[in-house]
Amino acid sequence: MRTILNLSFIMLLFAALPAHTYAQVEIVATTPALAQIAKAVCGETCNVTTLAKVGQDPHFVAPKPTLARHLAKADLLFSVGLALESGWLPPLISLSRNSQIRIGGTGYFAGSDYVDVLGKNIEVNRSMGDVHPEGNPHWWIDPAQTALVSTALAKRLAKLDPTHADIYANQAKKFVSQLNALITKWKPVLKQSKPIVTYHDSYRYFVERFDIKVAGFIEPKPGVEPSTRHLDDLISMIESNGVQQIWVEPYHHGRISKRIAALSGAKLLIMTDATAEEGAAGYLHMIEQLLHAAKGKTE
Amino acid sequence: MKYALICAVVTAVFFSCNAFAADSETESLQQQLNSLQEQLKTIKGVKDTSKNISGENTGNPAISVIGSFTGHRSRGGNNLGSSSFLPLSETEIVFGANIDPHARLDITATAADGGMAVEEGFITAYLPKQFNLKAGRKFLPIGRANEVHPHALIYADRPNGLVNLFGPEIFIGSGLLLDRPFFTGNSIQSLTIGLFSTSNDIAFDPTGINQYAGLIRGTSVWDTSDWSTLELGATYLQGKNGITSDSATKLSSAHLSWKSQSLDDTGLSIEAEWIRRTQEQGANAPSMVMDGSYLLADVGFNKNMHVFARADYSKEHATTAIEKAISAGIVWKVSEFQNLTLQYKQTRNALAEVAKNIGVATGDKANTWFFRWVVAIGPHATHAY
Repeated sequence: MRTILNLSFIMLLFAALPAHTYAQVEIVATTPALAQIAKAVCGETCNVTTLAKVGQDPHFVAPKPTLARHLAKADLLFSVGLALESGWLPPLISLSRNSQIRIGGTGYFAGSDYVDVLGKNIEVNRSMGDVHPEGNPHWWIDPAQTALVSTALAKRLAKLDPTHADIYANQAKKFVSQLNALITKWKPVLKQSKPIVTYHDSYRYFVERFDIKVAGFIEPKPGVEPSTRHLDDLISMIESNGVQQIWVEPYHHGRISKRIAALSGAKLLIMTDATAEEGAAGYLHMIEQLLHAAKGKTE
Repeated sequence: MKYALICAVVTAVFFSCNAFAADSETESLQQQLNSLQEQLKTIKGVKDTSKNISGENTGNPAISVIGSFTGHRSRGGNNLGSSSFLPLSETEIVFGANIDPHARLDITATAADGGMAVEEGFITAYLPKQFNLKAGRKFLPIGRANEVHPHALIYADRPNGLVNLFGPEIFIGSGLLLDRPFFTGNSIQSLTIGLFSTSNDIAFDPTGINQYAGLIRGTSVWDTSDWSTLELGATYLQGKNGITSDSATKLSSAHLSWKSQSLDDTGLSIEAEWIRRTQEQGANAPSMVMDGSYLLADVGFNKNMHVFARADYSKEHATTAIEKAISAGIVWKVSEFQNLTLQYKQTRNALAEVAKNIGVATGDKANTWFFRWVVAIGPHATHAY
């Protein structure tokens, strides 16, 4: 009798466990924003892991060998592309031994393959700084580019997991309409904005989408530390152009940007390109934070 | 009146013609716009369903050129020493690309002292079950520093322990290395076995004849926090050394590395490595046992600056001679593709190989300054970890 009771208890325990009628698609996103986009498209049908952390410079993620464990079990690697991760992602892909997610594999998805790339440099050399010859990779803070990528991602996921193709298509459609609504609402609001200065050319897609003029950069060239002379010129330019905002990513919020803001009188804004919240709500909130800050309000 | 009517008719005809022309122009433009929109839809349709267009250069290998200019000034007793004023100590030309979905080729050609040679050149075959087979000439995976290209090390010299064990050059072998990672929890373990030949005349055959050897290596890396890792590893290597028909050289090594890097651009890493070399001299002669080791601490700050300190220790068991050295240096990463290193090293009781390398007498004390300028051109450099 006791045996029967024990077996029944075990059976009840199993019955109480959630039924797994399908294996979840494992997605590894290189940055937190991409993880939000992936989650927005696939919802609960996928498990999404992020390699870079919020606040980390996506150009310089430390390629910890332990990160390869996520890639080893990934069905899909979702990267930014345009060489943004080229300094740290290839050794991790190699270490993961997951042939599916190698560049060109069925499980490799670079968002940049589906966006209208800005800043392509046909004639490029290193005297121009650490430029990305294939184009500016910071597309994910433009909702319109994200919409293109989301649609393409849904199609790719449908190929990997045809049983949930409808879910991916519907989720992507819903997300795209939210993104378009955001653009429609905010574009007229920011049209007459004053010019801004940014640290790196990270906001190019965003400012072009919302017609915000960038008067200059703290970096004289991508990846190059500014000289004193460049900073003097920049401060004069900020004053003469009526620049009221200096935008920096959290990883560029340092002594140099603080000093320029103090000397020029322009407001220093940390314009994050990643937040910790999940899914569509997280992504939309990140963009809204940027938009509110650009307008001169903070939430 | 008649004249006025004619004028009115002409004007009306003129304007109606213009209006008609304008209408037809608008229509034509509208048609062109529609056509362009259709083309755009087609292109987007193709893009959405196409395979990836981004990728590495499979047909045309990625090529990098790395120049390392290392000057030094060494002074020991009796005014002995050596110096060089920023010579191009090494140029590396690196080629690498996937051959097909199953394999990759990496070649590093080195030019130094007017000569050119293939420093490393190997095929990596992607085998089933997460195995990789590397075939060719390669820096041997013993300890941590030996496998790293010198320009990628934070310091400008080679640790004295490694110089005493293998000479001033990197310990290289030609053959096969089979490795596989194992992912468990938040850690990764790697197992490597290898069979290779080596012509290293310090650790193996003194005449420089190729000798066959095998190795087995295990490493484990754990996340100790979100921002730090701990690595532990051990290697055992054994092969004939040619001194007598059955004499062998045995190498045992252990290493550890703890690295921490935070969001505020600061980092700390501690690295230690110990290698014991047992070189048999034949049945009737005692084996020559030598230990070589180092302990390194490296602090990164302000995004592009590093300071480091290193202690080297070597022991020759037959004579009980112990060599110690301390180093300290500063590194400025001017950009991702250029860095400058200034390093000071004091060596006490230099053993034979180190003494020969820096131009002082065996057992002597020496002070050495290094200045190294490393530049890289080519594709985006892979960041070392």
